[in-house]
Amino acid sequence: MSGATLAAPARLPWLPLAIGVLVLLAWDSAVRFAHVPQVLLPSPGSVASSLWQAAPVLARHALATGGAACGAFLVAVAAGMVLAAVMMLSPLLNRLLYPNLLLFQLLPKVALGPLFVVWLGIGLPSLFAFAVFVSVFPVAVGTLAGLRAADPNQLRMCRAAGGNAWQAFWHVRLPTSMPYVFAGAKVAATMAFTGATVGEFISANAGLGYMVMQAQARSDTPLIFAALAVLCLLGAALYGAVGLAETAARRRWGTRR
Amino acid sequence: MKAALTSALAVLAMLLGWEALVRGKAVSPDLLAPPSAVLEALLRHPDILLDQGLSTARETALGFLLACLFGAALGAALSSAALLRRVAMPWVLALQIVPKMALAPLFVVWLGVGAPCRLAFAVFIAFFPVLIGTTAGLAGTDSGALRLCRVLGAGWWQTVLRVRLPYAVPQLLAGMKTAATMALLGVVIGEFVTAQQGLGYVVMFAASLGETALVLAAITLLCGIGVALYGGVLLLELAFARWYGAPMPAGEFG
Repeated sequence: MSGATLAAPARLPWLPLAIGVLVLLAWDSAVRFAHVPQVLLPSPGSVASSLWQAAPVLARHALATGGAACGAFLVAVAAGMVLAAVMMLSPLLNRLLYPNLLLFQLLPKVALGPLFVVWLGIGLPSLFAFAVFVSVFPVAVGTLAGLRAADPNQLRMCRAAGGNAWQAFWHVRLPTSMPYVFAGAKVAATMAFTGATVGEFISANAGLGYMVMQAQARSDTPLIFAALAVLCLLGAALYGAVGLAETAARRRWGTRR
Repeated sequence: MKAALTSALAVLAMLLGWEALVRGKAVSPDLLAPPSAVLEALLRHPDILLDQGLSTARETALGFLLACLFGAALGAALSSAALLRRVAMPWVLALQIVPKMALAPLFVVWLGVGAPCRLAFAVFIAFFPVLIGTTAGLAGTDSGALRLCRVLGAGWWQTVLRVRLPYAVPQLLAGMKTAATMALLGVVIGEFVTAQQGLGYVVMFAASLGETALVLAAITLLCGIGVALYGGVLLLELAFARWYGAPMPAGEFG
């Protein structure tokens, strides 16, 4: 993404917020005066009251989904970075793994969800493994691209100063790869929540995705909206946390690229 | 050529290792069917897989086309109106952050369990990359080229056609590549939640029966659909590069 047009404004975006409030008001009055059935589109008020009434249950399920997704995200980031580092340091492993990595990129990974249930049963282990599986690839591919993007002059400089391959990796390649790692981690943050939720759609006994499917079966649309709102908030929070970590890392280690 | 050969060998080695693991009883074939069993399943149930595969392929292709259309149109609209951009862009970006795939059940509530639901959901999640690609591409036009147009007295339409579009297309194509993957994912997740037809349904159904060979056969076909769509966009990219004669920067999703 490039240019000022796409960058999020640093100060509070008043105009979009105002429009958001307007849309909310229009939604409310449309439901109230055009008599849209509650099942199709609940009014914002009924979503809010559903959110309030179901708060304890929602919190419990949100904890299950959020915990699984955040844990999966952390594991995926660590595993993805290690995978990329190993592929960078060993040409043989790179030659063996890289084509397979590309093959997995072509695969609609989310479609493999039911297989994880066959392997690990219904519940947290399969959910967790599936969420890790779908979110590890963006990190691995991003980190690998970042490690390869090191400035050749800096690498030569490092070698000339007597640095070995490990030092070149630690002092030159890793720092330059950071922006790429964070770009991959941002995608992984969204994918971890996607994986966890889709896993819960397929089969689960807890979590927001499970709750949504239950509410759908009961045609309790306000509850669907409430659960999805919590889910979106959680997903955005993890994404925001990655963004904050990126800012902190940039401040700590200086801007490279 | 040599690189392609080693890649093919690496993939082949993975498949052979997989087969050997299952044959050697290290992994139960019920848990992970070997490649040979997957091939057999593909040949044994051609009618089911072909029927459901066609349904998935049709919905994916249609969803992808609609997503490209909507995404490009909305992206162009956002790029041409600064006010609209200031109002809508933060919302578009916010929607990028939330796990959109989780919204699938809402589409079931609104559109029932049929094809319209899956199609609408696929368009919903696939049109964002196209929209982002279009806006980024249109915003990235070389300002020197635009000034040159003004100096030469080119009209608005000419500028768009001759300058803005060629600069925007590489980004648009990059967005379309992502959209191709997303459209397929959207249809598959739609098939998961509607449980009515399509390869996603076959995957779910076969998995609940423990038929991993059939699951993997369906996934192989899904792969085929995804690769075909992605390849189509790649061909478009190639054709565009040839048309304009200059090597255009490849997309970031390549």
